[in-house]
Amino acid sequence: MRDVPPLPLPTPSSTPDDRSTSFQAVEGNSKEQYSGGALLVTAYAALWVVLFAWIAIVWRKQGALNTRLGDLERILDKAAAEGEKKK
Amino acid sequence: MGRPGRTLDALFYALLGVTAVAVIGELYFIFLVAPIEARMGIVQKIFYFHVPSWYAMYLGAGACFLGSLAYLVRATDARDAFARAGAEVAVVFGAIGLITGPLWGAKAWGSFWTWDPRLTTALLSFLIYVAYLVLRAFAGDGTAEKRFSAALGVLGAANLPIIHYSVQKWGGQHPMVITGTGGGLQNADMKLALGGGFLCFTLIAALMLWARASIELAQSRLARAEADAIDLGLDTRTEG
Repeated sequence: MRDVPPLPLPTPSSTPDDRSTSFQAVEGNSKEQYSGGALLVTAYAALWVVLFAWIAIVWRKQGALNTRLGDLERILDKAAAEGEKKK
Repeated sequence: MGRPGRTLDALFYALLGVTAVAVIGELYFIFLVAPIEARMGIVQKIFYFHVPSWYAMYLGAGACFLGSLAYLVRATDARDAFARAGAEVAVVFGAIGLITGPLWGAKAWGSFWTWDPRLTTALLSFLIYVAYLVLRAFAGDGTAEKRFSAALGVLGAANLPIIHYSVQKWGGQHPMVITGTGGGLQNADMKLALGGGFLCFTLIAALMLWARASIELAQSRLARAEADAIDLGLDTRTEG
């Protein structure tokens, strides 16, 4: 293996040309494609979104149940009133 | 409402309170106490609720299995309600697991999804419980439909041990952190954070099972009362 010479330490006397460097674009997929923090926040947000969606669905079912119960109560009240009239 | 109803209500609210405190404590512990993992960084913290969410999915699937099996032995509304609530809990936590896992994988593996044995079997199990709920939603509430769903609830559980052992038998990319040999969390606070996650998800799953089974049971009793009203000629609407 060929030895790689260490980078020269910048010295106060060095000129801007001595400190010149170049930035190059990564070829292919980068190892740091996704931010860990962003992924963590997305995961936690997804957790709460799923749980709240479930609560909303349960709330809707409860609402439908209340409507059916109200209908049945009305029918029973009507039947009771008719029974009273017959007496 | 009578005394037993009030006692059950009080128990439910007590469980709700304990769950809320446990979740707040767990969030504090995960973000402010548990250390950041050396190689993966902050994204490793997904682990503290990704693993418990699959465990809670198993709890829901287990409830569905037990409720379905009990229903096949002797059909009652309560057993059917418990099985249906279990399937719903399994779908909710399966969805959480299937969303959070790929987000972790994006960082750890560089890809959101791979057809790894554990991922594939986990997806299959999730789809089985989705199928159960679709069947219940669209096939009606007759005895035959309920028995068919109960059979699906029993057979669907067969995939659960396959998920668990797939990573041991067929290899794949999915890591094994909780094992009898090797691996593991190398920090006491990390272990506590994971333990807290298991506790929180157990409490949430219990609350969900309770709430959902109660609604399902009330729905069955209401359907029976509606049918009686039609039979007595009180309700002129037709049954079904």
